[in-house]
Amino acid sequence: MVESLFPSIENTGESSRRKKPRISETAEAEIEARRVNEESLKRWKTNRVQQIYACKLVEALRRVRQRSSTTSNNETDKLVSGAAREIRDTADRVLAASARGTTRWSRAILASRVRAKLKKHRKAKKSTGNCKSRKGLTETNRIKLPAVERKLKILGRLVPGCRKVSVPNLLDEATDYIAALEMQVRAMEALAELLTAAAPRTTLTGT
Amino acid sequence: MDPPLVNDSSFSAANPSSYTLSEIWPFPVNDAVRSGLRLAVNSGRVFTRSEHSGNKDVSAAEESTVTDLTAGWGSRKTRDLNSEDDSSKMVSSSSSGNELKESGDKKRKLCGSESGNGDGSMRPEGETSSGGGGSKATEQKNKPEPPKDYIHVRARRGQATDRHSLAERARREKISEKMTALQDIIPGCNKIIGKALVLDEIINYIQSLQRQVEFLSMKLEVVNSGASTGPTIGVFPSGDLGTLPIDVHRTIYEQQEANETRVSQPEWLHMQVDGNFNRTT
Repeated sequence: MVESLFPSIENTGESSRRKKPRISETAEAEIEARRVNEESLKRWKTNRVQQIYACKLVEALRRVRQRSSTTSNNETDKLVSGAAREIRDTADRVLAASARGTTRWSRAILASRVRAKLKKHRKAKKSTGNCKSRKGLTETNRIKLPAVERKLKILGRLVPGCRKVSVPNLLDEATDYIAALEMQVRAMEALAELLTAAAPRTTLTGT
Repeated sequence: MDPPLVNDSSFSAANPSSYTLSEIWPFPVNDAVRSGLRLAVNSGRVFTRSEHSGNKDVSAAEESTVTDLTAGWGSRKTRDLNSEDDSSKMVSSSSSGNELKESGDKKRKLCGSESGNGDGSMRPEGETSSGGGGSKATEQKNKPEPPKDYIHVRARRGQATDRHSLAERARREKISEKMTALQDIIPGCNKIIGKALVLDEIINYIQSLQRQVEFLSMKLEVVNSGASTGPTIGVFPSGDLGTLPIDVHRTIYEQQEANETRVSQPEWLHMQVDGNFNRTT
């Protein structure tokens, strides 16, 4: 009887007490993510990856040249800028392929190729004159974001496929993308130097 | 918690077998229950505080300890009080007026004995075994340390200890770590202080790299337009790279890595270039 009047506090508390997630699990996940990021950064700096990228780029350049050689000489002047853009696209695609689709930016580059093909089949949408005026009004009334957020938005536009990504993920993607771009620049510079060095040598030898 | 001792005078000698609740429990239930609960709750709080502080004098103004043990006290207290109010109503309806007067007198006596720490005093479970100041210290030493599952955060005055604020703090730390990693990658960015300026540098660096790639692609296009086609290398597929799925890419690269001989980069590139890019005169 008396025990029913005095319910023990420990017994009543057990039902309402919740188990919190262990800190160790989240810490392990963070450590794993860091390790993967560090490995990817190291991978871009290795000589082997640069060799693979250069080899693929040479192959892609050969294919581009084969396409351009089929066109007549009169059309070549018009296609110079288009060919440069095509070379850049192929270089980007080869870079994304050498990333093996592990990052967002690489998947976005590989997917953009498919989207570009699909866009050709679709009909162009008709644009009305009212839309421009509305856009102008919205731009004037737009609230200015803080400096950091505005710059993060710009960074999200620069890194492919990272427009709607959280800030920590965006920074991760940016680090990986910068390392990949540095490797791309190194490989392309080496290739350009070798090609320019090879051109006069072949003319001198007469082959 | 054991009920307090009841004197022989409280039992009626005429009918020893049949006792009412008011005779067994000599004071009104409502007040007693509440006072007992307050004591129990307060003692529980004191003990959780002392367990985690570890015999250190922690002033409430200086530091605040946040533990999972003291999370649900308020809700429990209200629940218990609500449940016991119903029982007290039942008890009060069964007891008569004279019995209540007698129990009131006995309650006064008991309160007096409580103030003097007599035998009939009501003590919470934590305080029954403690004889003096030294025994408390030994008890605290004997008690095991709190398990590692509990999040134990000490914050100074003005620092928040909510779950939301802790999560926000962790998020900010994560972002700052990644910003420092970016600063390490970008040359000449270690001296810059402030997120906005660092982000400016990052944006400028990415844009410069993209411009470099564009310039090099134009340069390669110029060099590439004059070169003639040579025999193709058998390592790569003839199809377009972009159209292949990612898994196919992976298999191609693994084959290539297995087939490739480890040669220094310039020699390897010369072999590629000399074999394929010969200009005809």
